[in-house]
Amino acid sequence: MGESIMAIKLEHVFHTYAKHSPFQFEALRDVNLTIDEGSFTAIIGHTGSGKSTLIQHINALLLPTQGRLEVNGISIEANQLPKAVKKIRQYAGVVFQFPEAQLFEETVEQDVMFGPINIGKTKAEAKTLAKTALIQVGLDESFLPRSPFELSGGERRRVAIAGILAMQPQVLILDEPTAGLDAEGAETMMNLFSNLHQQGMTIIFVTHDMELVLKYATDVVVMAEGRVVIQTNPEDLFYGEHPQLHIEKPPLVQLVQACLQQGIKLANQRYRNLDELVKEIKRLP
Amino acid sequence: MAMINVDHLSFSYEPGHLVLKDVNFLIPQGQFVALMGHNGSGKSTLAKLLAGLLEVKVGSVSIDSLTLSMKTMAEVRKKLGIVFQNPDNQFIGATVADDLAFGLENRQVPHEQMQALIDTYASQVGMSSFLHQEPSSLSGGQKQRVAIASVLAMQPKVLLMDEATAMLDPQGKKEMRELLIAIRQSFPSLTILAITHDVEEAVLADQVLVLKEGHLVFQGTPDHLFKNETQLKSFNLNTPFVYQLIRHFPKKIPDKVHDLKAWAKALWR
Repeated sequence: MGESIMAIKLEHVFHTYAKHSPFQFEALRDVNLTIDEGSFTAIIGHTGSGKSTLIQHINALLLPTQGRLEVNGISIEANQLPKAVKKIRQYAGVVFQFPEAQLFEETVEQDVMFGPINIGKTKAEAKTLAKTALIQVGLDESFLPRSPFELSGGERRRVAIAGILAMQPQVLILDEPTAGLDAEGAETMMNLFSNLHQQGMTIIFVTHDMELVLKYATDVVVMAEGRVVIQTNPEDLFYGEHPQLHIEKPPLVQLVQACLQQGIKLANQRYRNLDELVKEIKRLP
Repeated sequence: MAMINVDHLSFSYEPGHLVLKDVNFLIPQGQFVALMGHNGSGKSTLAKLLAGLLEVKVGSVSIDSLTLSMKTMAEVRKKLGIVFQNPDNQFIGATVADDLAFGLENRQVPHEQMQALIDTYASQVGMSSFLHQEPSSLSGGQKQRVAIASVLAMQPKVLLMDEATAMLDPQGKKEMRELLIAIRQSFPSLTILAITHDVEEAVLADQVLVLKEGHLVFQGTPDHLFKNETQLKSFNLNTPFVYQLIRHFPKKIPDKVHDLKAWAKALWR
């Protein structure tokens, strides 16, 4: 592994919603965090722990009410929309939860072209970018003239993600990208991000699915009550001792730990997917 | 005698477009049944029909031998407790105790009996120490537990859970599964119908019903459902972890099939 380059840095970030009102709510409290370029970072935590608020800071959709961020070398100071906000948003694209609900154009092509045109690309450039982005999400050219509204839910979600990819971000941020998908749909979706990651893109995703964290992430950030309680790797999070975090261990981890307790000598003590463990068990006498 | 009897039930919101197509099933008293199906399979429509929120027009539904109709609705609703999906949409009281009291007040339960009932049902769902807390200080899972307690306090014959765990995080889902097991032990004659996406919840059921495009395409034990991989795929359902193990190691299945420690032993036997 080479030297890691930081892509995103948060320094003492606080975010308070509806300040000075009876509804004042401190969603982020002194968050310090560095996300490396090229990482596949999972952000987990209970509902209301600040995950969604956190990711919206990364491309300046929300500004810190205290503290600062650095995104690709550009500073975001408290309560100030940075001058280079367009650059930041082109660098880091956010895909919200259930993004398929945000499609609005008549054709898939127009919908995916919307982003690039918005950041100043010509129509011809946008067309090319749209085509490439759709291929990246596994949809071929036959989708271009179709109405987004006649596609299946999973296809619509891909179109929405293509809309962000068409702006060629270096960091892709996803809020619960597999919510509402069945196992196969979730797997296909995660494989798509895994491919983008292998091509060098930094992926940040919010999830409740611990099995996906174990299988795909290189880094994991755990949030609770607006704070980062730990930043580590998935193997350490699930196989290490962190009783104070109250993390629900994936069944695979529970099984591996039960095997180790029986004194069974496994080649690897921190399996990340069932297939590897199955291979090992079948190999042993 | 079946507690729930659904007989040749069909339903359409607009003429010519059936969302339920000749659905038939019986649920005996005291069973826990999971109803599964993809979005658009008709399961929410079925729930609304059972709850009397939609009117049965073709076929019939009876609960505890009472056939559902506009006439019998009030009587049927006394037998039926419903917990909905969104924890924030069903909390009525200012505190947990108030919320539990709401239904009892509607039933004109005398005040002196009420406190005891509130204590009993709060403790049943593990919320005794939260009686005077406001809903905003509770997690989604805790709110759903209060919703279940409020419904149980009405002493229904049937508990209908309409995707009651769908909006909960993994920890909340797990707590609800544990609560379901405890409720079954405390109320063995209560019939539970849970509409759910959570296969780990369905694993605990006596039987599973699967709806697909308005048809009832499966009725049987969780074992039958989850062991048939091809069928499961055609239903778009996930495979629970232990059934993935069963598939990989069909000759090493331990007696306690849901216990991962038992699996660890069996795998190296």
